[in-house]
Amino acid sequence: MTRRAKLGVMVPLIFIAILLASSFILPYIYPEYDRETSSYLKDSSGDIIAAPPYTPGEMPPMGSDKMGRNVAVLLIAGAKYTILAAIGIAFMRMVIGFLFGLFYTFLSRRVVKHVKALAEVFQFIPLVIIVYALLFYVDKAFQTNALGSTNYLIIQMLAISIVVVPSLGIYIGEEMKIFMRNEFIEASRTMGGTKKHLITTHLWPQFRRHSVVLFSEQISQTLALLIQLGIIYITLGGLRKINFGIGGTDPEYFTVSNEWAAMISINLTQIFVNPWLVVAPLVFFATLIFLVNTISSNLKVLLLNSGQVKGSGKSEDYEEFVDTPLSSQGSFDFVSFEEKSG
Amino acid sequence: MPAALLKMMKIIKNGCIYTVLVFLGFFFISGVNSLLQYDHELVIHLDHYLLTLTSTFQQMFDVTSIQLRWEESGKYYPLTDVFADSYFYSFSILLLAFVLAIFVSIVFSYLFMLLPKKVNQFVNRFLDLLDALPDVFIVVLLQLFIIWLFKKTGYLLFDIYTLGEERIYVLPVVCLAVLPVTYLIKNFLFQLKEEEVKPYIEFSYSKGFSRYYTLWVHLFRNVWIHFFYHSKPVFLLMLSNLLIIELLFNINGFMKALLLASTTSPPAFLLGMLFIVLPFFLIYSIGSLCLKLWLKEGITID
Repeated sequence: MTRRAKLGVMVPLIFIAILLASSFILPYIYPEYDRETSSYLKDSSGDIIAAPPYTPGEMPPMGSDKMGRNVAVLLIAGAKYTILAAIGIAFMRMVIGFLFGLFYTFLSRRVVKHVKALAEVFQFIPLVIIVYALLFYVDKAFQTNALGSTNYLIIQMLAISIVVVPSLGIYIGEEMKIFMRNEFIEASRTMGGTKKHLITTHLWPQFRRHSVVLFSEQISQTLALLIQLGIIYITLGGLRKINFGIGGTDPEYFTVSNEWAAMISINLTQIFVNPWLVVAPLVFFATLIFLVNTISSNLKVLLLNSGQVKGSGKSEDYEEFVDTPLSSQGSFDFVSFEEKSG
Repeated sequence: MPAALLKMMKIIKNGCIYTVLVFLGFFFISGVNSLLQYDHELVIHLDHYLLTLTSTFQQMFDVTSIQLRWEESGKYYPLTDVFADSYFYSFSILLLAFVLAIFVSIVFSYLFMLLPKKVNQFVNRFLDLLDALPDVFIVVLLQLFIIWLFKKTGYLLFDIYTLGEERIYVLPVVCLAVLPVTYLIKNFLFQLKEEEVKPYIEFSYSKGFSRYYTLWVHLFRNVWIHFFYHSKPVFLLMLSNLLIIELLFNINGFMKALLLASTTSPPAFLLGMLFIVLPFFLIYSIGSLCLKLWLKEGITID
């Protein structure tokens, strides 16, 4: 049981690591990946058979964009931005969530009731809209070149992290509150444990164990949000907008980083003409989200022992029975060690 | 009875506090677009923010004069027209999708329960896979599928894009229903499996009732109640997907108007947010009241 779960964590992790590594290596071994290629494809007799954008059939595996660049290669090159940004945002969300959770746990009961009710109502407003509104003037500053891409990225990551307080913050806070009802907390309080002591010895170790699962869940949620933001042309590091057409009414968007969500937004207008340009990044996104989801569900089995997979057959029950003494011994040692050290 | 009266008073008082708090909360959010500014460094522009809030407050007394600038045409439309036009359309899509999602997920989870255990594991894998698909991906795939079908057969199954004043229903509703279906089936199956091992089911089998009958009549009846508690995340999921669907199908819907209002007109944004929450607030207040009466007191579910 546990071995299978461990495998379920390791295999997707290795996949993601390979993707990240190849994304970093790619520009070195193939520097001209984002240059314009020859403008026509020719067959063996020298006849022109296709002009860019090439379909996936003409340029495997995922076709090319208008400049004849291979979409799959571009996406692999852009993978590092998307993955690292998602991890960064998820991490910031955890930090903010933990801090808010602490604040929430020590609020008086009368206030908490209202805060919770309010947060529940706020969840009905889609996050995309809040992020869009928050970044409105910042995006304008970016468009007029008053703001650099890196700074914009940091502001965006902050904004995307902070909007999650009503959901994640309250969730963590509620979990902490339930945890605080344990008898040993009461005992600790009676013996004169201060707030600081409660936090460092009890809340923090407990949070740390749960946080791994929450963290990987936040990564996949962040990825989903990044796609949605891509639809309204808010992408990490910003998009350059250049107006074509009569009177500059036809905006065309460009990305420098080839970040996945940006790849969706710049090609969104061509979805019915060259569908692979939008589908390819979405396939990458879906694969990544699937990998992360697999990691989360297996982590749940490993760390929280509350996986939805319960022993159904007799043979499995037996296996678990044999497994239990060892694993529970290990976790018991771990917890007591934590408590002593804190 | 004074005790009952006191209880009533308390409920009313809490309700009032709650309403005021929600209104205030949305009021503070409505000006959020003017909070951040960038001028050589990130500035939290409190002056501008407060100014926006005061003007929002003033405008709230004269709702009919609020105008919304529609980005594509650059024209101004009265807010009341925009909202009245789009509100019922968007919410009918939402409601239809919700009904469809419930119907489909009940039928499927009933069928899955009848399947042997080994197949069930396979179903779970498939659901996990479906869960990983981003909403945008599902919409795009369905749109492209309809086009592909059209190219092959020359028969356009449904409209895939809104042009002008026409209104499309089928495809947006189907797209909006897909994601909640996977979520609902997963939860249904989980609850059903927990319930299945309880003695009363065994009793029903031992009396000779068939699997079909026992599952449908006895098992589902007890899982139904949990559904009410699971419907909220479903609505949250659907609301954010609704925005995406309106954008991708080019529907001039309520969420799109809200997105526009969020940056162009804070008072409109405030009203829009209140309008979104209102129906759910009513549904859940009435629903929990009904459940309380139905289950009578003393029984609690979590």
